[in-house]
Amino acid sequence: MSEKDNITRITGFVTALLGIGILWEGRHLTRGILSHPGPGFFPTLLAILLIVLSLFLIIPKWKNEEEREAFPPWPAFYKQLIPIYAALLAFIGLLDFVGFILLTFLLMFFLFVKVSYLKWYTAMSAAFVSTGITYLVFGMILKSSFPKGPLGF
Amino acid sequence: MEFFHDIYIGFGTALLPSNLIYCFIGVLVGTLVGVLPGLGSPTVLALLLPITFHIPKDGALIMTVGIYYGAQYGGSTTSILVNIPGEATSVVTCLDGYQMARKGRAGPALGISAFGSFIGGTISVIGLMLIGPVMANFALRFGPPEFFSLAFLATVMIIFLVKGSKLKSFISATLGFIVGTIGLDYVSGIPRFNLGTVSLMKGMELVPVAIGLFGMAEVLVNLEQKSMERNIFKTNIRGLLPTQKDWKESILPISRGTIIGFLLGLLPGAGAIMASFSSYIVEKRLSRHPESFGNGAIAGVAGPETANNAATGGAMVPLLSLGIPTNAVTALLLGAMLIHGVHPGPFLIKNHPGTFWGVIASMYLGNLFLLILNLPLIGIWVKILKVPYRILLPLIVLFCLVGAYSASNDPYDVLIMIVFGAVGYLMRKTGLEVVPFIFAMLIGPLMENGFRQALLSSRGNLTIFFTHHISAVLIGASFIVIFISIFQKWRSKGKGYRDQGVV
Repeated sequence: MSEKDNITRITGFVTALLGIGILWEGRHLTRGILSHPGPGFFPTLLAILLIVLSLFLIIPKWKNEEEREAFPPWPAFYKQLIPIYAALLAFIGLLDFVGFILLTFLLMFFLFVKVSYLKWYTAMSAAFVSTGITYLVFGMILKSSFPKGPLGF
Repeated sequence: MEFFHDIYIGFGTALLPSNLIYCFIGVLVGTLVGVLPGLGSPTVLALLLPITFHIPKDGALIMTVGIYYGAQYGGSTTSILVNIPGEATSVVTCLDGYQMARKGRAGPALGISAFGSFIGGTISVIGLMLIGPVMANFALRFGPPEFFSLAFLATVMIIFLVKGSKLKSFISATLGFIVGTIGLDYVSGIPRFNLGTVSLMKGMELVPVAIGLFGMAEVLVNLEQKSMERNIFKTNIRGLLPTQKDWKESILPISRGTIIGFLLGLLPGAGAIMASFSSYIVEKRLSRHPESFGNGAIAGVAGPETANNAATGGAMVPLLSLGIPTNAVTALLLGAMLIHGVHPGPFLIKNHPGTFWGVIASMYLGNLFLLILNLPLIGIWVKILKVPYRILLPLIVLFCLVGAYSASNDPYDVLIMIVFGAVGYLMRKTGLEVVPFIFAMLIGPLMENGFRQALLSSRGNLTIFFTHHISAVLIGASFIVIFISIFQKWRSKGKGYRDQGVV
């Protein structure tokens, strides 16, 4: 079995599990009857449909050529992906403590170094300009209220 | 007389100085988006949705619609000069546009594409103006069964007409419907799938989901590209105005492209991509010199570029008159309208005539702006194309973060955006189409509402969907679409076996 077949099958498993999860999470919702459908009626139908459709991905015999389409290779860029996602999650977690401006500057500096491969001083300038413009547009012109850190910005 | 009165109202709205500025910004940003490969119009529209919260309703809609059709203009520039389509709708323009550039005819290629886009875009707006109100009037007869059946037909068409696996599109749409059920049930007020959080009680917000699925996922996909450098074809762009001979060869493709584009734009799932490809195929078949296609035939640029712009006017018909989006961009436009308290559908013309006719009138003005703007700005677009994509990626991430946050000043929305960024990336990797997902998420509540109300009124009798004539026709049309799709697949499979000598 090729890698793409495996991934298609895993996709089927994941979506089927999601369907089961929906059935489980919605077990307390009243399904009702056809003449009085309750809040759980439509989600239950959808979850069952999702599970049935996922079976077509899981069972290779049922899969036709259409599903055996060219599969894009998996990334060799996890070295970039994981730090970027970690930085984004840290951004959310620290936003209320560090403040928007300082944290955005740090994040942009990190991204310009990690993704754009800029030298540290160029990355710092780019981070400074991009953070400043963003704050000007969203914070001052569009009046979005961003969290402030202990330094007052 | 009423018609002229409506037009008068529309231009009254569109010609307000503030709305003119929003229209100008919309088409300018749209063109820029179209020029930049890898940054599609759904992505930018998703990113700009939060900004529209701060703009008056009419201006916001005029600007977002401007981005939509402006992007179709810009997409051709990269196709012709770089051989990389700025938009998926301009893929086919690469075939002859780039060949024209290689032969030193980049100017006429860019020129005819701008003029074709203008003609197609403007005529399609006339079509929208004539058909939209008629369709909306007809839809006033719609009740819950009809709305369910209409949403069902639109879903079937989205699933069966998008590229790739139909099964995966079906799964993707089902996932979208499920996400659409999150939040308070509108009938009982009971929270559904909110995982015990207050933030999810309001339902899954469109802005963070769309920014994640389109913007963040776009960044992740682009990070994979080993080389993000673009080789711009070095040529002197001069003589943008097509010659008399060019016009002679282009006028019929432009006319046909307008009709093809407008009609395909009306269909959910078909839209501008199918319009541009269909136009190219038609022109090649009708040409006396089909061998010139792929070698720099101007008809191969004029037809598809006209068609993809004409499709935008067509796509606005079901959106404005029925409240049914036909592609990712119109789904986001629907979201933008709902955010501003405008419910597209049969009552839009009655309840918000200024908005309806104002948006339409702005499309005339926007098309004119684009024609005036694009020809002199081509030099600047070429310079922008030289900005390395790696520099743009962090800026897109920043825009995603700020856009998701500023929509409701809630860090939870940023988390949702990041999660859906990963979901969007995984969906692309596993071949699950994003368009049916976002479409189903938005249309799901309408479908569920129609379904439940129809069953309540018929006391659980499912034949209500067939005894109501309009509903029966819509359900019948859905089954015809499914049947045609299965038949085509069966036929192509049979052909495959015959080619292999199995049969």
